[in-house]
Order: sequence, then C-alpha cells, then structure tokens
Amino acid sequence: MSKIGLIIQREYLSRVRKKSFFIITILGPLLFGAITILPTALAMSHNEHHRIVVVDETYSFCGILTNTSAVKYDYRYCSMDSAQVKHLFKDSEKVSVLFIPKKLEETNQLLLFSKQNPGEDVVTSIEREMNTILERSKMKAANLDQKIIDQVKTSIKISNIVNNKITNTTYSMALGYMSALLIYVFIFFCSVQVMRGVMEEKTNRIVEVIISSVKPFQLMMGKVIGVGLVGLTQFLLWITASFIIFSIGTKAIQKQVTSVNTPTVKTVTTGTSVVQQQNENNSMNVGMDRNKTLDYLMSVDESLRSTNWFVVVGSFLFFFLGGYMLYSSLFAAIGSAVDQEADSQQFMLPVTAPLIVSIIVMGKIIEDPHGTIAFWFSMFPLTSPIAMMARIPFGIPYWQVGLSMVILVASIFLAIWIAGRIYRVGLLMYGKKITYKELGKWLFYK
Amino acid sequence: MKGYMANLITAKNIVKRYSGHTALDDVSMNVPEGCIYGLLGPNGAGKTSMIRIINQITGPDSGEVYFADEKLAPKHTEQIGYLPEERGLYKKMKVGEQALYLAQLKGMNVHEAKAKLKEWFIKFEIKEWWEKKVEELSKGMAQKVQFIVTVLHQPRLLILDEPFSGFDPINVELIKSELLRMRKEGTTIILSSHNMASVEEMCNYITLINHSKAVLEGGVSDLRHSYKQHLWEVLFHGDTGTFKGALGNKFELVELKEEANNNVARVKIKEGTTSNELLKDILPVASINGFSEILPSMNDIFIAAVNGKMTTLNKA
Repeated sequence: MSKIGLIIQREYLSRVRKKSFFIITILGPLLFGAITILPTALAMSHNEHHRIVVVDETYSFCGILTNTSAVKYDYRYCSMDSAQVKHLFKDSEKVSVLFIPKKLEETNQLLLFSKQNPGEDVVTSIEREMNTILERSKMKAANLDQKIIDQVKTSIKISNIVNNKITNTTYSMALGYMSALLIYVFIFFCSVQVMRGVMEEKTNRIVEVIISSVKPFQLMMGKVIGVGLVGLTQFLLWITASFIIFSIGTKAIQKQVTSVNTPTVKTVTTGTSVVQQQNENNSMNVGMDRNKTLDYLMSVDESLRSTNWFVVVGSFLFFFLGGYMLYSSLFAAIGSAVDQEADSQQFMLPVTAPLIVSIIVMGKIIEDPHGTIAFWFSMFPLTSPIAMMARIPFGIPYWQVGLSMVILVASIFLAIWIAGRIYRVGLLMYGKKITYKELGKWLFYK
Repeated sequence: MKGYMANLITAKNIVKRYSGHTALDDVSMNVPEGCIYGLLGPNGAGKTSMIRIINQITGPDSGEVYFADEKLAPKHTEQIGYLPEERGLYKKMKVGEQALYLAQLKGMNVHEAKAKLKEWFIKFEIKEWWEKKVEELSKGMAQKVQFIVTVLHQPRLLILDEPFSGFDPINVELIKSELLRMRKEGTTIILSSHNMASVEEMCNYITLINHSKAVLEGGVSDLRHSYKQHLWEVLFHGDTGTFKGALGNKFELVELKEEANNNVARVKIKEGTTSNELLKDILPVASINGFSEILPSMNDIFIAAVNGKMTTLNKA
C-alpha cells in the first residue's frame, strides 16, 4: 500500500472503530427520523383533549359543536348558571368554561374562563367551529340550499409549474435548508476533527517520526482524506437509516389513518338523527385532520420520488467534499501552527466566519434564490458550498453551478498549497506565539 | 564490498536560515559508513537542524547532501531510521498496531514487520504489551517501543537525536549495547548530544557544532591526540620534594596530590623531551605505580576549540 494509503487507512480506522462513531451513527438517524416524524406524530396524538364546558344562554349550541383533535366539548352543564359552573371548575386544569351569551348575534362575543391559558390551538379551534355553525345557520336562514352552500365552499390549490415541471416550493425550501445545514454541520465537525488530529500528533510529538518517513504534505492530505471518508461513511449510514425510518414511519401513520377512517363510513350510512350527524361530522373532521397529514406525507414521498436525485445528490457530494477539502486544509494549517486548542481560537474565527455568515443569510438566499445575495454567496468559495446547496433545489442555471464549482476547485488548490506550507513549518514549531505575520513568512520557507 | 572509509552521508556547505537567525552556517560533514558518528555541541548550536536536513524533514537554503554518493532523495527515507529528541507515540493506539503502522511507513510489508516486531518485543521483554494502549505504558516502556520502531526496518543509517536524554539508566545501557551490536553489523549511526561525555566513548568520528558553525570534525582518537597537551600522570610512592627536584627544567609539574596510597602527579613534557626521559629521571627517586598519558576529553577539546586556545587545529 502506498504511504498516503496507509495514513488514510489509519485515520479512517482509528475513527470508525471508536465508540463515539458507533453511538453517533445510531443516534444520528434516530434524531433525524424523530425530527421528520415527531411533529406529525405529535400533531396526531392529541391524547389529552382540552375539555370545554359549554354554558349556553341561547340554548342553540348544546350538543352541536364538533370535537377536534384539540378540543372536546362537554354539554352536561349547558343550561346551568354560568357563575355556578365557573365556580365548579375554578380549580380544574385542562378545562375551560365557554360562555355563550344571549346577545351573541349582536355582539359576536364569547367568553372563555380557564384556570390556565388554554392556548392558541384551543381558542382558534372554538372560533372556527362557531364561525362555521353560525355561517351555516345564517345561510339557512337566508333560504340557501345545502347543495349551494357546499358548492360555495372553495379551496384553491396552486400548482407551481417551473420550466414545465410541477414544483413544490415548500419542498424545495426544505430540501435546500436541509442539504445546506447538513453541509454546514459536516464541514464544521470534520474540519475540527482534522484540526484536533493534527494537534494530537503535534502535542504527542509523534509527528517528527512520521514526517521522517513521509512528506508533511502526504501526512496532511492523508488525514484530510481519511477524516473526509469517515464523514462520508457516517453520512451514507445516516441517509440509509433515515430513509428506512422515514418509510417505516410513513407506513405506520398510513395504517393508523385507515383504521380511524373506517368507522366514519359506517356512521354515514346509518346516521340520521342529530347526534349521529354530529358524530359523523366529528369523525369526518378527525379524518380530515389525518388525511391532511397523510396528504403531507404522501406529497413529501412523491416529491422525494420526483426529485432529480442525480443532480441533488451529485452536487451535494461535490459541495460537501469541496467545502470540506477547503475548510479542513485550512483547519489542518491552524492545528499545526498552535500548541493548544485554546490558541487556535484567534485563527479559527476568520476562517469560520464565512461559514457562520452563510448560515445566517441562508433564510434570505432561500427566500430569493435568484437574487444578488444568493448569487454572490454561492460564488465566494468559503460560502458557496452552503449557499449553492441551498439554491440548487430551486433550479439554478447550469453556468452558475459550473462557475461556482470551478471557483471552489481553484480555491481548494490554493488553500491546500497555503496549508501545506504552513503545516510543514508549524508542526515542528513549539512554544512560540504565532502571529499572522509569522504565518506569512512560513509560506516562503524552503 | 565498500571500504570502511567510504562516506554514507556527505553534507556540503549547508546553510539553513530561519526568520531572525541562522541555524546552520556553511556546515559540512562527512559520515563514513559503518561508524558511530557524534554530532556534538551545546543546546541550540544547530544539531537538530542538521539532523532534520539529513532526514529530509526540512531542506537547506543552500548546500547539498549526498546519501552514498547519490543526491539525497525521498527514496532514501526507507534506509534511514530516526529517533527524534522529542519523541512520542499515538496515545490512543495499541502498541502493536502502532509499531506495525510505523514500520509500514518505512516501507516494510505487514508480515515481515510483524515477525520482526515479535522478535524485538521478546528481546526487550515487552511482549505482553502488544495489545495495550500506549497511554497505559510506563515511560521506560514507551522508550523501548520507540527505539524498536526506529531500528526495525534495519536502516543503513540510524540517526538518534539526544538519545540518552530522558531515557532511564537501564534503557540507556540496553540501547548502547544494541547500538554497538548494530555498528558491528555495518549500520552507520549518527548520535547527537549536548552532553559530550555521554557519547564520546561510543563515537568513532565527531563533528563539533557551535553557534551554527562546524568547529571541528574528525576521528575521535585523532582529535584527542592532536589536541593532547603532552600531559602524563604518574602514580608513585616516595618523597614529593625529591620528586619535584628530579623534574628539573625539562618537565613542568602541573599538579601534585598526596593521597593515602599514592601520590598523583601530572607532568607536562616540554618540547624536545620524551616520556621515556621523564620516566628515566624519576625512576631513581620514586617507586612508580602507574604511568599514563592523559588525553583530553571531548569536552576539553570542545572548550579549547571554541576558545581558540589551541593552535594545532588539525582536521583529520
């Protein structure tokens, strides 16, 4: 095996065999899966409803408000005195008393009494429900046919067609954010690992033995490549595991949704009485909630399938590796120049600043992926891996991607050259406070 | 077969500058194959800079180095074993694994390296440490491992920078005997030290470096003879007064100590006379128990050379 191969092998194996690698490999996708699945799962599993005790002076809403995933109505105190009911529940948690006054039609005002703030979800859900019922009754009062009422209800959906392809903007945003963030995280963690590795060799004083066998440049590149491969391995393991978790999660949710929907059908066929109609509405509503979730998951699933993975994965790998090569070689130089991690701060700041800035402006870039900020950030090599990756899901002209790649590659060569010069001097420099001026001189040592 | 005197390393007019100071100023040295070569001088004289240039860790600003008549090139690193002054190992790596890695970097294949390592580990009594992590080793044991990986690939040239500083006395003896054995087998060894007494007994040749310049170069016995002060030590019984009288004008008494069993005199022989004449003159007045020439130590020579007291600077 060539010497650089040996170095890569050692760097790779010594990291992959660590317990921490194993733990991160397991935890990563669980976390990733949890982040994608959990919000949906949580939204669905409102096990703890907020109980709304209805006190109705108009006597027209008792029993007809529809339960939702957030709210469950209680009609047992419907015709009682509001002060009495309020007193009854003054210490109860997760219970509110909804007071519907006589003059509702004039004031459009309801009162909700609770011990604790029930939260936005509960309030809007009650408002929406009341609005629907009042609107319907008003329309009925105006002698409108139920059929017409149903027809009036409109729900517009926009199909965003870009270059003859249906595009899901939300999905592009998510994909842009996710891949840019992933690149950021990987560049950061892997580059810091390279720096730590260099410092370890320097402080352990093994480095002089090694560079008497191989060139410092080989050692540096071996480390950069070895750690990069570790990152890539971890990434691939994560992606595979996340896809598995995602598809299992989706299937599980689909199953749950179908089982909930079944009884609804039954009620529709048998239901005639008011209460039963209520039930029907009720489960329809829950069903619709779940259907939305399902729709969402299906659309993500569909978008996942329709994405041009060749372009996305290809450019992801390119910018991931490119950004990593650029940053890790600079980090290697920093690691070689200092004796302790504490001393590395002054050099790390200017190097990591562009990385952090590009994360800060990422919101802007995704908002306006074809704007000036987006363009320049995706050209400047220290920010382009993140900025360009955030833009790519929106469809970027190929010349821009190409130009950005060319600039990045050229910068990598420059960075490696500079890093190599600093590295070979820095490795053997102990106990000296290093300044930028000093680093500059090192570039031209023989 | 190459002659004993053929040079393995020839360094010509090496200059190495760092920002602010010159580490080596026109230093030349010739290391004959098969000898132990001492690179001596005080701390900061430039020894390590010279060693790093031979190891191709750094390059000279000007000057050239030849390895057995070939211009020094990366391929030669596999024929060199180097134990730096600041030596360490990967703390988290297992001893055996690490030794194998370092051996492979020197161009050995795994099987060969493993077999050789086993032999050395048995010889140095650290066999049971193969699977241990380096951080669990004592300092003395880590030193043994470091020495083994330096010599494992049977280098033609072995370079040890301050080899005996930081080593415990038992390891020093172990390593000294290994070095002498390796020289017998034809290995060329360069030792550097600021502590001249520690290596002069082992060295055949030396270069003295002071303030970035080579002050002296030559065979150890040649140098000692060329720097000799014609001093003789006489151990005798008898009256010290008569002894003094017998010396006359031809000989100069430098020192006279009366000890329990012997009187010890140091006598300088002036030009035109010989040790035999000295012996002839003192034989009648004292009973001689010992008579030997005092050769200067490397330390004496160094001081003399640096101070420029000696005019008989005779480059061998």
